[in-house]
Amino acid sequence: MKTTKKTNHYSVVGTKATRVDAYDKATGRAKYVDDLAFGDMLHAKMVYSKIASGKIKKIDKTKALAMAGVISVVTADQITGQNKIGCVVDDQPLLANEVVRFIGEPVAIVAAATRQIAEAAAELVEIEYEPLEAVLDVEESLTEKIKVHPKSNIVCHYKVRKGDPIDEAFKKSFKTFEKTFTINYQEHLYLETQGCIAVPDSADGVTVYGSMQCPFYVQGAVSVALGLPLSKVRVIQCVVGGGFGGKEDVPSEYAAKAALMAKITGRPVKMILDRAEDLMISSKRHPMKMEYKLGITKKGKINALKVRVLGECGAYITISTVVLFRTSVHFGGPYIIPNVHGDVIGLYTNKVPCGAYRGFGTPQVIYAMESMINMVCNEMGYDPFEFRKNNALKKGALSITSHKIKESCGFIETLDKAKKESEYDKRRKEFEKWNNDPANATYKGIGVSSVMYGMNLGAKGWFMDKAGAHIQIMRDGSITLCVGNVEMGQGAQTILSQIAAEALGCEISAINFTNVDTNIIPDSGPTVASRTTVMSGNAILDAATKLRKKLIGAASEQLKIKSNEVMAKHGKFYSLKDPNKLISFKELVNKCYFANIGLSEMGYFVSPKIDYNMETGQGEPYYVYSYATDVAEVEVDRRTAMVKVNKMTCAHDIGKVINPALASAQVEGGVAQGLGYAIMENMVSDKGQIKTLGLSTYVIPAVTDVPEVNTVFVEEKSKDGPYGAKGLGEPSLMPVVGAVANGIANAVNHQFDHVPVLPEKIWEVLKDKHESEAK
Amino acid sequence: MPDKKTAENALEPMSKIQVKFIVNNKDINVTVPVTYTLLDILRYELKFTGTKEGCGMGECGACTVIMNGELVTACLVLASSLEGKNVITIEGISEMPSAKPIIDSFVKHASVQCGFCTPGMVVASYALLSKYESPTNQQILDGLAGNICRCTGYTKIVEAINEAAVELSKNKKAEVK
Repeated sequence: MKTTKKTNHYSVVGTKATRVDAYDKATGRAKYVDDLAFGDMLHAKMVYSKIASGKIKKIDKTKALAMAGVISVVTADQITGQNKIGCVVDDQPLLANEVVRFIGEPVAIVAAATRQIAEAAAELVEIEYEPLEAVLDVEESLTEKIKVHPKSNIVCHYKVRKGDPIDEAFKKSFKTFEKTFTINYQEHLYLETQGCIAVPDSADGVTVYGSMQCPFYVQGAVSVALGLPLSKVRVIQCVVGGGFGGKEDVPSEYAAKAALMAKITGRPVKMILDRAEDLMISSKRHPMKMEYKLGITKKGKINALKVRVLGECGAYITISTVVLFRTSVHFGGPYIIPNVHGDVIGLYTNKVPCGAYRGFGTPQVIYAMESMINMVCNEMGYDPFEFRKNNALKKGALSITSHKIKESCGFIETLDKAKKESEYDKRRKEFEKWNNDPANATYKGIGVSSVMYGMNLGAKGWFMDKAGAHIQIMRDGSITLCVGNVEMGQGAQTILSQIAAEALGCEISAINFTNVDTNIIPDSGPTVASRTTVMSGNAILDAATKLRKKLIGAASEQLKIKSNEVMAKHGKFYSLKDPNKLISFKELVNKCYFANIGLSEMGYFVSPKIDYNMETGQGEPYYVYSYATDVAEVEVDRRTAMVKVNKMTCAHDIGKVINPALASAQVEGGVAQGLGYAIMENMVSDKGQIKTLGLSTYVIPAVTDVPEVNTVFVEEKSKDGPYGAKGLGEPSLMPVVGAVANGIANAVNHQFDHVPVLPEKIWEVLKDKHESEAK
Repeated sequence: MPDKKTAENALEPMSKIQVKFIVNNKDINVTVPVTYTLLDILRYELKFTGTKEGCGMGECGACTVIMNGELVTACLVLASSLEGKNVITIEGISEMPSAKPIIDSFVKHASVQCGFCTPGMVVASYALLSKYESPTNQQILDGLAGNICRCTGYTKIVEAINEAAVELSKNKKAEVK
């Protein structure tokens, strides 16, 4: 791990602080939701639709209710609040009442004394359907011959219109390139499946414990389903065993069902999905069909881009309208393109709903765009770095949405770093030589991909883009810190503890992080969009600044020096002029206690305002962007067509790096998930039925599959980020697919138009190649 | 998801089984449904919740424990096959002085993210380092190949094991002296 600017002026921020949650997790002490139990607790299981589309004729609960140990079977007619769960659009029932729209749609909930009994009883609930013809494909959906929902199959249509009419613009191109790409689902496969426990309160309220990214979404969904005011729904986040977007809106569905069952039975209800259920019904990354046309001038400038994307949303919108908004903003990558004509269309099908997944509708189009650039470079003879630099977005330039980039744009530096660190020129030559030697058993290739990614919720979600933080300094100098964003493995608690410790002048060890509790913290929006460091970090700074002012005032009194002479660092407050004049944080806090100086503060932060026109797709969709360039070295077996990714070089501009060790860990994880998406993870769906319901069929990378990862950071500070930070969670994954696909293209001389790039597809190309070589 | 027949069977009182075995050096005597696995017994009867269920199909390794000296996925071990067995879980391992360098190394190297696979990883690492004092890279890969992690990309886990191996052999040499 290397950073460009070696000096770090801070005492805690910018250091490789140890993860605050690592010890509990490594010893098995950390409590995930399934590790909790309450007295008298019931176990709930859902009953799922077995057909893709149909009317519900009859639901017979008799046999299930007759089973010993079964306490209740709940259907839509028993919902006490409203039967709806839609996160942004009201199109999804909590329990299907008249129609079912996908295989796996929940129709009933069974509660029993044990999980085993609940599972068995769920099988005994008999549902009679009148099957209807299902829509299984986006092209079919677009014809509107069969409608998934009464109005229209079109979920959303985002347009980007920039510059001249696009056909005119292509006339001015020296060369044009066209290709259509398709990309499959991706499953989050967080190791901990979805789950929650709902506990009824004495005062007809409910407390929900669960694995989630968005406690405030859960609170809202439970309130609607039960018809309770928000203040009677308390949500407490447990340790979360991975999210990746899969625990954004989806946990609300299960929490609302468990809460409903808890309210009806008056007992705590635990609902934990098993792996097959989770694979069958939880939302996925959108499959897409992506038509690209790119126009290039004689000087190697991109002068025109035309894009049409069909995104498969499945049976319900969940948050597809927000996901596909991101697709429309990012399909052109980090390049200056004067003429753009883009249409991103989301479509209903009678299949599992798609939703949030790390990168949020963007890795798909980045793969397509970067494949196009690779084709341009290969056919026109450009070096992939020089071509990208020649077209790169930089300060003062306009993005495809005509957002004038005013600050924090380190894209070109990521290109330079990635090229240098990967020894691109040298490796490319070596690989060419290797590939020309018939004695070698493999082909080797090297591929490049870049990405820009808007931080925070952007124009489509600005109204939710706020965050709170609460800091309480106890009289012994120990501190409780609570924010509204979730630790889900990404390291938020550590990063945010560093920010708090830096601002308060205390040691990290003094801070005790409390998981999100909706009774403590105001609605802080979701833990998504790589926004936690910026949003919760800034909210902490707001609270900590108020506390620091009080502490410095008290220190100046105690040390009998002017307040502007007081320094605070590592648990000590001292005089700048005479460092021996000091008082410990602990002692100072104790003095404050006896002087009745309150040391408990709430902080708040709102994302910078932006201006975007949804009709034209022009304006500022996000306030700032992270940038990255990845280089992948791949090796393809000449006989089996199996691909091995040997090395990834990843250069990321994420603003100030708060913790270099955790940042590189985040990149390594993103690389593994991205390479799984690129070459391994193949979700098979047949007539709406997902067939890959386990890890032996939906195969994700194991330790034997991952490459060496060399991460380099570029720190182009953002004025609105805490200490200049931007986000990294999603950009770590996003360029990987394009880089690996371009590496394979370089190895076997063929640009593949579908992801995952499976060996059987590569084999077809190799077979032709071997046959023609034999002639 | 079970079929109706197993569902009905599960309710018959006859379908319980008594098993006597050892967990973390303690004698255990429990009566559980015959359909229970070692994982169910550990988590729901004995409250050893450090062992996690990631798939219930023996595919992810989150429930890795040591049984009679060998690594097993607890979700595939039926109650009926437990009689007389000696099981060590993450709770047992985290109390062992010889495992401390492994846990410390996982913490130091940021080898933990969401942490759900971590107990299984630590158990597998302990077994690996009990077998090989200085494992080769290939031995580490083989030793962890059954444990899936979705967060870390494994790099920092392998780093942690390498350093733990060095620490453990230092400790051994110190003991000999």
